[in-house]
Amino acid sequence: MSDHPRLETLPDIPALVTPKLKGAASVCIVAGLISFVALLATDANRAWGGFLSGLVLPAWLSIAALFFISIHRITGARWHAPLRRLMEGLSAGIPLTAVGFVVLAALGAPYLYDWFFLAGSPEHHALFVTESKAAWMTPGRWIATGLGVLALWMFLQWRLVGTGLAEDGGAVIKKAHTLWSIVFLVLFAYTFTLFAWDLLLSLQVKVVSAMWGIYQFVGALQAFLAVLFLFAHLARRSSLKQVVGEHTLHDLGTWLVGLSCVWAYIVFAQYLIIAFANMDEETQFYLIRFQHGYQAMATVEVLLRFPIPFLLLLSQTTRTNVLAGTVAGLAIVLAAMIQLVWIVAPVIHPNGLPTFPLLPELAIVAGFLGGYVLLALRFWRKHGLVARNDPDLLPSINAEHLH
Amino acid sequence: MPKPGTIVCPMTGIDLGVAALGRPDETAPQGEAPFVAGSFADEAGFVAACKAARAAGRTNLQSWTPYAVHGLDPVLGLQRSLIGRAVFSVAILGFVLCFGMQYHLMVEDWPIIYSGRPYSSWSLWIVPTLELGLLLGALVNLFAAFHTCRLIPDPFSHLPDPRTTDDRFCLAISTAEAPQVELEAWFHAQGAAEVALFSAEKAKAEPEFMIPGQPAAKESIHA
Amino acid sequence: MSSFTAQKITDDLTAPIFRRPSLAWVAGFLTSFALMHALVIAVAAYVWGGYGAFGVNSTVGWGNDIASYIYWIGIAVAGTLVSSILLLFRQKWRTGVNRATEAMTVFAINIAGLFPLIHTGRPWVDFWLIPHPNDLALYPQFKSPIVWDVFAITGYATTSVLFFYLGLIPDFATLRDRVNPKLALNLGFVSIPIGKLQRMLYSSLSLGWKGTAANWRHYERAYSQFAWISTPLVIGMHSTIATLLAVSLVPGWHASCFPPYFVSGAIFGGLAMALLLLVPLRSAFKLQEYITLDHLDKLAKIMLGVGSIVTYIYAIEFFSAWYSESQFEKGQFLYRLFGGHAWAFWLMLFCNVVCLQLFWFKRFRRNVWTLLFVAFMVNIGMWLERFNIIVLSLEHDHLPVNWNHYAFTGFDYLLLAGSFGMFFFQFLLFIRVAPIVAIAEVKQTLLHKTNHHA
Repeated sequence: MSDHPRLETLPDIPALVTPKLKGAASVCIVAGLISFVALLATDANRAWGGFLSGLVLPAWLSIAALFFISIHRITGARWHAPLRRLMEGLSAGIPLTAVGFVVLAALGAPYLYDWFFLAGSPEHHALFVTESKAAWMTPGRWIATGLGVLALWMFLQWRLVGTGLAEDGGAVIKKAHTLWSIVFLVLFAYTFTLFAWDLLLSLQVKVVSAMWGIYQFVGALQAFLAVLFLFAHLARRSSLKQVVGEHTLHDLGTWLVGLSCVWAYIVFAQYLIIAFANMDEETQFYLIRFQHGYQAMATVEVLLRFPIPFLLLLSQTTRTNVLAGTVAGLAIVLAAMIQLVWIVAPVIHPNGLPTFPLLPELAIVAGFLGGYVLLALRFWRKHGLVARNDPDLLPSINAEHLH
Repeated sequence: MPKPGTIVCPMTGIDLGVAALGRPDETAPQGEAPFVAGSFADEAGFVAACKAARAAGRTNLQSWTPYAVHGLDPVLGLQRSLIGRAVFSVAILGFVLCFGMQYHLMVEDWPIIYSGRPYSSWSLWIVPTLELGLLLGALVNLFAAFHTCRLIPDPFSHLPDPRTTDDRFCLAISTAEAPQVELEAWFHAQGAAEVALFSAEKAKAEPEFMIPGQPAAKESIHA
Repeated sequence: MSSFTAQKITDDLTAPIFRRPSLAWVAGFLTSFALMHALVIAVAAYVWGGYGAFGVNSTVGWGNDIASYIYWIGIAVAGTLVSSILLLFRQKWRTGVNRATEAMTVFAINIAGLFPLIHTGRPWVDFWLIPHPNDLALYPQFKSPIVWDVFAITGYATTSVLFFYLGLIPDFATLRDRVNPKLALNLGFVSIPIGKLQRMLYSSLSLGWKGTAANWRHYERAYSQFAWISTPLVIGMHSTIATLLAVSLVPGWHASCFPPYFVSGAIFGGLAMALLLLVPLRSAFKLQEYITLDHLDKLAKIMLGVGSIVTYIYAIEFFSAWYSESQFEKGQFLYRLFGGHAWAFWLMLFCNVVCLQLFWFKRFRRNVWTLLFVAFMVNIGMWLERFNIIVLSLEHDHLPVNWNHYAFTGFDYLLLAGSFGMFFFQFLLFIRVAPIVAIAEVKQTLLHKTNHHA
């Protein structure tokens, strides 16, 4: 049973005032910039590696946010109505990735991808067995695909979130919103996979894993839920006190537990199949990531992503607890950052990171995360924290049953 | 200080819920005194009567419903079922046992080199570990449900009104709480469709035998 | 929803059990009973004659046995989706269809379990699969995915049956209290006391269920607990089967996306079977108010969702075969497109991808004939998908000298047809003995005033 009084009308929602968070995000950005410049001066490969790790994060989280909005729309779910505007705000990060991608394509890519570096030279062909793949792995195609995918995502985000915002003006959006949700879901699966293969899997051009798109996506979805969980806790302390009820938080926590299990399942399945079959072109992915200190990163990531949130949020009472929720959310976000570094860095420095292992890379990723948070805060400043005219909002706030 | 019979996790101090399995039978009317039972035709009237009975300070209650009425437990003062914890504990035990079995068989008892893998290949044992642990959890879950609900093949009916598995909601209050006449009047005031005396002892001694032709409990509503 | 009363729900849902069987039911029952005997004969002939009865050869060592095994397991998975996963998502509409799909799970899984037990070659020593001290001083090899499969199936099958039975107990109690004990079938020379027999049956099966508040409290807890157990179990089980193939080096089997591929494919095919059962059932038993078009629409939507995931993985498999630059992988996928069994691949694509697109339109999702058509096609498509994975991959492996063609023998046809007979036999029997819609749960959903979003 809910412990809050029944709301007949929606109260005024004060704006989210978070000077500390804004300050922290800005500090992250500055730290990221300093780390990037310092690395660029000493070890440019490593600098661009950190840059790549960071630049995918905003897009990953935004795409996961759009996925979550769409899937709830097409299934007709209503419990998430108090959180919808928060999610829409958290989908604002794609332009950041787009900017990062342009910078990477213009300046950094040759430092990371050997096929990019060798493009045009006879050695480029030596990397491949077949002509068709040699033609596929070229800078022109890579840049065109990347830009095309990002443009498509920004368009879909604009349409999907734009339709959601039109509701504030009194429009009835169910039909249009459903339509754009379907369009998004069908297109994102293929484009996300393509983008994830292009940016991350192609670091080792021989490595193949048919699971790669799913693996990246599930990680992104879990990280997004953690971010949403953290923001829900934060907003609940002030602006959304009456809107985000205990039951909504509880449901979100259940999602997080579920996604932690799904993440563990996908990661273990991919690892088990590759490790058991023991084929060179696949095991090299794990081999270089399980030595010279990288195994510690992998272990920490797995611990932070599965056992810790699972045990913390398993009990129905701790799922709404602020401390448990914050620790679980932060653990997952940190693990998502570590994972991206873990995927990129071993390719650049197979013998381990030489100085200050992990720290500068994490700072760069945190910088991108800071930018993402600022974009989300800007969105909420402009469009408010709650989809006020959502017909499901009040019933969802007043829902009686917890379990 | 944990209650006797409680098993507590040595590390966290959390009650493992095993004691929940040893609780006395809550599914039968409590005490020697006969009960006055009132049958209600709809859920709302029945829940209102339960609330009124609790508000009037009645504690020795028993109810029979055709389906799980959500929100009834707090009204009747029942705590949350703890069998979940028992299942969780057993599943963990199952994980440990199954992993230990594989280690013992594959490493200690009869080590065989299989496709060049080390004797102790923990990652390859996770699948059976998971499956067996969950299977053990499922078995304990079923037996916990059977035990806490006292389910055992039983040809006798212990229902005050056989229609409680169909469309009736029945509430019974012990005559130890108030005189029979007073309770009957109270039930009528609450809008009960039928009111009758129901004796737990009597039902136990002379239950309605499910195969007809046998004596039935005289004081049950449909006698 | 105000037209429903508890009495009406009980009457409507128990009516099929207390009514005389219809002619259609008797005909279906006898047909499936006869077909089931095809299975019995086939298995007997196999035990007598040995493994050569299968159409397999030294190249294609697995054929119909494993393809049909995965097909039936997949059908079981969809039932667990409805009974457990939708429960965790608090989809209350599931109460209309969960009993039928759970029954489907239980019946499909005992048929599925039969196939690997037969295919071991010497079924009478199958108990060697269970670790126990024996005179060979050998144990199952726990590093082998074949052994994982034994545990996965055992655990899943047991849990499914237990869950199914727990759900049935309150409904058996309802039947127990509604039997007319005086009912008897007078044959002239002897009178069969049907009512008494029914009462004995249901009072034994209902285990003295009372339905007190304390009962329901523990029962509901155990019920949702089962959902929490079954969900990882079913995903783990089908992923184990996928892993069984994927950890090998056979081109076409070794793909890291196999576990989620198999799980979504299983739900896809299983929901198709569920529609195939539910659509005729609701008209025959006049259950249109309980298994509504909304239910069928929702099942079709889930099918569309998981079917789209399957389509995505078909595409990714081809893409990664090309991307890997492995001549074996590429050879395998070209063989699927243009090889000796290419018809199976193209027919699969037609059934699973092309026909599915009808479900984008509401009008087709709410029309029983298009539902039946797509469900039928997807059932064919999903069997062919397993056939493609198992047989085509083996036909065209690493060594050209090894390449061989696989063909069904009469025994294979008999076994496959018999498995359908056994499935429908069990299902038709069940719908005459127990309520095919969960009475207590439907009452709770339809009558309870304070629903989640009331």
